[in-house]
Amino acid sequence: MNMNFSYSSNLQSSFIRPDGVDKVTGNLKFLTDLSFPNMLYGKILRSAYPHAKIISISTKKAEELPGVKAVITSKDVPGLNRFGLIFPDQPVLCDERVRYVGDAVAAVAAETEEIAEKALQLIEVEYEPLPVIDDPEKALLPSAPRLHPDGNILHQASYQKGDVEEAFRTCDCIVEETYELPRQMHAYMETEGGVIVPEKDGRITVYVGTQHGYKDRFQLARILAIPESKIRVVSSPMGGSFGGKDELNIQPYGALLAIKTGCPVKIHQSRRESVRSGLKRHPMKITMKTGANRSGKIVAHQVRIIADTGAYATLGPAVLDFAVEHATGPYIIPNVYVEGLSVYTNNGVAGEFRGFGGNQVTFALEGQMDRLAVELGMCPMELRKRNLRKADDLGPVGQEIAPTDGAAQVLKAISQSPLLSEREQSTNPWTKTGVGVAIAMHGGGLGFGRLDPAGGRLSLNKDGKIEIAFGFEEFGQGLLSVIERLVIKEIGCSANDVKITIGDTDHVPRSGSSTASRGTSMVWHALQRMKIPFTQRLLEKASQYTGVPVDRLYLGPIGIWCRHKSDSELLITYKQMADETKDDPIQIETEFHFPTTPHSIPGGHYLYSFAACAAKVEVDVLTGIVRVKHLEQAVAAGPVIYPTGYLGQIEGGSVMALGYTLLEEAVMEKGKYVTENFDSYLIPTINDIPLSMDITAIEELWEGDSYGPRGVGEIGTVAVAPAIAKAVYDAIGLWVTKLPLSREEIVKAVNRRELRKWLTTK
Amino acid sequence: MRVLAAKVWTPTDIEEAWSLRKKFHLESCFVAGGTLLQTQWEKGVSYPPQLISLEKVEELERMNYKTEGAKRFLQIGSMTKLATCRNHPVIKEKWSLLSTAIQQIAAPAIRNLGTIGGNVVYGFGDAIPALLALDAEVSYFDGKTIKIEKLDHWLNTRQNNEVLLTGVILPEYRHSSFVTQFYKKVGRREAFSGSVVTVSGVIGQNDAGIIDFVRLAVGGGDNRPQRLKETEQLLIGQMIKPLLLKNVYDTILNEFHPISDVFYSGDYRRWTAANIVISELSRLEG
Amino acid sequence: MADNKIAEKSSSSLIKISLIVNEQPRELVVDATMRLVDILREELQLTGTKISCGIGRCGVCSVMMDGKLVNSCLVRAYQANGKEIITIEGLGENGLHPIQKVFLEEGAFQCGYCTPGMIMAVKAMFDQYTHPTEEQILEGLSGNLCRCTGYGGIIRAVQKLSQS
Repeated sequence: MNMNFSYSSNLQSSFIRPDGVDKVTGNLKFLTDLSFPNMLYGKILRSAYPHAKIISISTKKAEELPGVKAVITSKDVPGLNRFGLIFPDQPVLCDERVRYVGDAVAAVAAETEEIAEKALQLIEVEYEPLPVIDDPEKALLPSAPRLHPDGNILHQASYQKGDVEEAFRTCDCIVEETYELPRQMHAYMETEGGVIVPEKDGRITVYVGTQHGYKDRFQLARILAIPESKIRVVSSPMGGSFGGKDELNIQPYGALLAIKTGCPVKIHQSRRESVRSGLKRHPMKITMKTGANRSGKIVAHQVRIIADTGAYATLGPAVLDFAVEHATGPYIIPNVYVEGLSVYTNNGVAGEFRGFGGNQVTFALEGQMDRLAVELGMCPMELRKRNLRKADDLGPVGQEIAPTDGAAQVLKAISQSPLLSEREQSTNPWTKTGVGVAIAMHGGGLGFGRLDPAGGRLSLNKDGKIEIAFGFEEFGQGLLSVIERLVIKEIGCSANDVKITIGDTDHVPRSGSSTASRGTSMVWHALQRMKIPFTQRLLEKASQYTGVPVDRLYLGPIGIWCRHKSDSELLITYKQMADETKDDPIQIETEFHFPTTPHSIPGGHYLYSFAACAAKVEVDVLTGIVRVKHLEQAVAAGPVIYPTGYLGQIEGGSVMALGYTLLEEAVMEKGKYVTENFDSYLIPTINDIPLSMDITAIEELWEGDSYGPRGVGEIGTVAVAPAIAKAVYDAIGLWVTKLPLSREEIVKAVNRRELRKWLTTK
Repeated sequence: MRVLAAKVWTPTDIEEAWSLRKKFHLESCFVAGGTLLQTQWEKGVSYPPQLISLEKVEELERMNYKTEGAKRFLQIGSMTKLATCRNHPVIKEKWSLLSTAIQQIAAPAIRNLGTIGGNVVYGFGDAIPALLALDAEVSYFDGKTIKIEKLDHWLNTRQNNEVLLTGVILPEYRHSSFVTQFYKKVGRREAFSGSVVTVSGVIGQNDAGIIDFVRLAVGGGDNRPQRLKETEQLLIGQMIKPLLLKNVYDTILNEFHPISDVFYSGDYRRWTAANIVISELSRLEG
Repeated sequence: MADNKIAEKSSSSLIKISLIVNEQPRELVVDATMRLVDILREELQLTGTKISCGIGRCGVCSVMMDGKLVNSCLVRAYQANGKEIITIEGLGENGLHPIQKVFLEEGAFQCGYCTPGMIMAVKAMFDQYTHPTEEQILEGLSGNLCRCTGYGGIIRAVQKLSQS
């Protein structure tokens, strides 16, 4: 078989994930699998128009339908009728105006899903359609209708260093290009949903997946006008998120309906509803002008980014900041001007998505590097090397960062790829092969000036388990495994001794969101803070009970062990210790902040990870089909904690990025989705992937680095698209500027270049 | 749609199915495997209140390999599952083009539900270009008797739901010295995708390399599968030479006018169809 | 959907169906057009079978019906009547099935939502071929989407099982 999915030896492991058995047997209850006695089914009525005034809403007929228990509109929102992670500008239920097809207008709870669906059809909404802004550049025209009180610009960001105009005059070579990046859908397999249960004590329990249970609780309290303490959010496990479930989705409707009816309410969006209402990756149009001197030193880089953020803010401002920050990537360029605009439109709401603006801007940046290399007649690897950051250089926006030579590490690793030396010619006369390489730099955590708290709790619980609790969520990324591996390593106990508690605001400390590649990193940091006090307290207590001096004791499997001259023995089990300490349980908590740069540059990051990707493609000149035959990635993100998870993040991220490059676009026409389900929104199947992949994890950190492992949730998705695009150029001489890559453009290019021999027949 | 507001009828023979259809007329439709209809129902496309399932009509699920006079042919009942067709040893041996085509329709689980008849009646199914290239016939019940006609003719003349498709008939065609056949589907991804362009052909050459019969068919997207008859005419009696290929290319562009959708233009489909045909013909270059 | 006119149709019809689910005979009175996936998840509380696209384009609802892999969102009650169904819950009743074991060992899943359907598809494939070729693997699993793993771990698992 030709299929070969290989990896560096440090990614080999035999650990079984804590949630593994339940997942392969189907025993795991996802929150959308739950049901409760007297449960009702909720449905949400979304706007019929991408932009319209609401003249009237009549729910009378729906309310009269037998089996309908409640119909709600904006009038039923007791608190703030808005939500949004950065600032609340999205109506929970629209009252005067709708701004996109996912806007909620009403919601219904009924005895069955069918009745709820019928009731939606009976709600009469009178709209007055308004002009639709379906393009961010149209939104910027003075004549464009204002979508929000402050106009159509959600956010502007810029970065300036030196004088680009002056520097361009000195350049021997300048390349300028405009890149267009598509609206990608997260396509988590489990659509948004869960059950909201009113409890006897007057509280509600929200069993709905999210990346940040406490944040949902905060937003819900504001909407429902009840104290946060009245809300319990149970939010793991989830069938995928990729950034898409960090913002609220169906929770407010379920909660409002549950409170109104006094019954548990289940909402589980259909795929079609999910496509219509859910977040997407920001489409961006990025113009870059980059100049270098003859020796290959880049001296000027000018960037303009226009992001289509859709109807509401959510994390739009932060995504733009991230794109601006990463516009120079791992390169040191003396003169830089980057400006970014995030613009409201009547398109689908864009927000958080794995890579967070870095994917778009890195595609453009690496495209510039490859174009410059061709113009200069220089090896693209050499060009990159000449401009690469050194370990102690400042970060991309002039901020101090944790020293790292990750960029050089990954570039070196990928330059050893056999793909770069072998030059095999295709045996098929109708295919052309090509190879491309790209690199990426990616910041972790939320960045300077943003509340980015983390924390954890470590205790010996009454059952004798070493219980570790975090406010993080498990959505597939393998967080549970990371926690388990780290506890075993840092504490010395065995997997059976560990109990992990996550995803329940009644039982976990605040750790911030499971986002921005911060989970693994923050678990490690928390354990570094907690392990010594926890161990000390436990050993001291053990010493008190057993009379053995502390310096002879240590934590091991099952319990506390006593060191003898040549061997050691189990002295007291954790269970016994738990019984002994039940009046004064051992519990350590920690709270801290994600490490940030000391320089006050909003959004500037401090910890970065790196990746380099090499791709080999085969271009079918008859059809324009591009097949990625082989893909390699080298990743530098510090120590590997859970090898299978790390590998899975990079492999899975690679294929998601391959989809972004070759297949995926949530197409909208006049503000309405054309691709409404998986028959038209196509993500890679097993047939679309490179059947040969190789992943290398570089663990070595810069000397003195005390920040431990970085998360790898995002880094594997960033360098793939530009590597594939370069490989296509290598194969057929076409510079790709727009994703997903157009087969039609390839066939046209082939026509132009007469790569088919019958067309050359005179 | 989770539940349909419709009544399901499960007739067990053709006459019963027909009489139900007569009885409910526009208030009804036949349902074969239902895999395509489900995608429409889920979109909110309306459906009639009476659904006549053909799954219990056993005679529609039979396969017969027959000889009648000089004619040898395979009758495939319209309710035969796509998976059954794909894996059937006789089809694999004698009409492998159909097996190849079906392999590229949807995915295995769907092919265990979807039927050959459903694919044909849909009118855009990916089996059709292969069936056209194989010069297949269809049999249908018109309320009185079972009639047989060329699929090509039937596709161009049939009125929706006027008849009940009962089967697909694959004739064993005359063997030239050399027969080449191909089926190429260009989807939007490598597998499990609707077709953008599908091209299929059967080409016979004599010992001297002269083409003595040829059938070419194209389809894809919202384009009705069609034979490329002008191109076929051009090829008959010819040997493959570079100049001929150039003419073939131009002729295909001339006679195939596919429509565009949001994903691919008509031009892309034409070029691609022409490119595929040329690449296949160029293998036969003498 | 909401902007469509109301379906003014007679309410649908209940039928009695009998089927064997994971070797247990079951008799149910359900709507004739109720989807098998909803029968499994809601009537029989077998929530191991998942639902995602509702049109047979993702494979998370895959089950075996009379020994063949089907999308349970595409099968309606009248079609399931009299059939034998095996779901993920019926696979590892006596400890883990070998497919489940290799999935655990090779990281063939992350979020786990596609996993029950994927495992059923792998089972259908191994029922047909003891040592599936590359082409057979690619065809056999072509109807099951996984957004997390990129399929690498799934292929490693299948290869391991094929070699054992």
